[in-house]
Amino acid sequence: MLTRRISSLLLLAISLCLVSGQSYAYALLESSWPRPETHFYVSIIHDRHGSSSPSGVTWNAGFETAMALWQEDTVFRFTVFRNSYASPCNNGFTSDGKNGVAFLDEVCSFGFGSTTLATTINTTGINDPGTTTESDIIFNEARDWDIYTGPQRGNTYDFIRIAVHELGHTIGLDHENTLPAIMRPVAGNTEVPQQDDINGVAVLYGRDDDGVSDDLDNCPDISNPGQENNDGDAEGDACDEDDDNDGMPDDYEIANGLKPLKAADAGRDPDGDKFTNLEEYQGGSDPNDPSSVPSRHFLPFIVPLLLDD
Amino acid sequence: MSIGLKRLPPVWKALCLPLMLALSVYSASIRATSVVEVSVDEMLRDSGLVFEGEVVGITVREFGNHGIQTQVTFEVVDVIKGKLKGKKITLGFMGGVYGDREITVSEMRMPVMHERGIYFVESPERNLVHPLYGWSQGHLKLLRDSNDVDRVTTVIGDPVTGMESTAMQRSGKLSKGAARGLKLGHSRELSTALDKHEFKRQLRARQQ
Repeated sequence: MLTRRISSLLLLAISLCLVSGQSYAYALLESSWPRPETHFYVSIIHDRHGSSSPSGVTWNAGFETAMALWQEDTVFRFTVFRNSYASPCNNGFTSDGKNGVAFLDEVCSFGFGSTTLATTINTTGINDPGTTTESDIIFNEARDWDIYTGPQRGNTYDFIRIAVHELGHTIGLDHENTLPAIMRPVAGNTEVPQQDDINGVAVLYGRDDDGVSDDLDNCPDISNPGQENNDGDAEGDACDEDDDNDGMPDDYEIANGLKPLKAADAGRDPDGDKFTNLEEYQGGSDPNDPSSVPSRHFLPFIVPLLLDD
Repeated sequence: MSIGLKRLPPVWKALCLPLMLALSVYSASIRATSVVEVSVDEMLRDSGLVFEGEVVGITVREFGNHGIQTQVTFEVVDVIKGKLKGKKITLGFMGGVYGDREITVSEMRMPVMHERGIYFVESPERNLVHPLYGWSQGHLKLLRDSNDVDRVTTVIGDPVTGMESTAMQRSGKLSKGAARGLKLGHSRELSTALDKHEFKRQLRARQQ
């Protein structure tokens, strides 16, 4: 019996390890924005091509498309200041608080070198090292750029794909190399944020846009900025079916005039039938009717050992 | 009251931890982003200086118009390609902490104090965002194994087990962190990596 239980536990643990391992493939930078939002001043001109790519799509439209791709499946939001230029190198690309994007032939006094296509520069205040205060993206004007879908075209790079990748750095994602992801540092046919990228953003900013990251959020799918948690268990009140952890669901307590935030009422017997409210709930009887008592065949809840956390 | 993956009971965690460790051996990856993949031969041909050295100093300075540059000084042990006056060279990397500001360049991995390695410098004279050719591709580390043999690894510690000839022309792909043509071990076992003498011998042979 014991051997079977251990074997079952081992199998279950392997399954969970595999699943949870995949869940954490994304990588995060050391800083992120205080809220899932930032802005970009978008007025992109290429020295040789002007405002439009060889395919005819404007660079501005391409960059906005890249931002929209992140917004489709994550809570992160970009505000666009259209046709308004903010130099990524303004004041040494710090302090002005304006996120800029541009094609340039150098990175603010530093050369690109022969292998760099684009780079994202994040600025943080030293007094708040985990918080990004500015992010600038610079594309190497010397490379060949266009806007297209489908497979990589030799040494001509798809502006949108690279922009999506660099915007991932702006958001706070680092590279990862194990799962399909736009943050995977391999040029290829990945054009949009993948589930792993989306998971990474959710950890940074949460899925419910309440300002609490998923790894700390006691209700990651329901907005509860205050994180109220009456019973102090793992689930916040907004998603906990039993806010006082007394064994009776909140809905049941409210329907029967009990107090969903007071655990003490579980042991009381308001109808005087010698059965507590908890026993009446478990036995399916009415806690306010002395003639209604739990079934004689009622079996106490057996909480499986494995589920007892 | 439900059980989530993040709140595994202790018994599961106890079982999970060693399994996760085992499964995550290959999960670490070299970082490099919008940097073009290059071949070893291109890197060797186009680097202005290739040397074996050790980091002996790191300072940060303001550069240009309020930019920040981290300067890393190496004591040069052996010059594999190029010429160098003296025994030391200082390379500047964009970014760092200066005053009340920190500037971070995505996927920048700077050499750390006392790190030893083989470094492909794109241009000893120019101030580049990243002075090493192809960023992480031109940044190889030397780690000493249990027999006191210095062995060559990538910047994240994957053993370099060999070199093979590849087309010099670029593939159009982005860098995965290691130059094309470098053979990497399938495990983190350091003993499988080339020792530094053999690695340098092969580099020198490729220049001829």
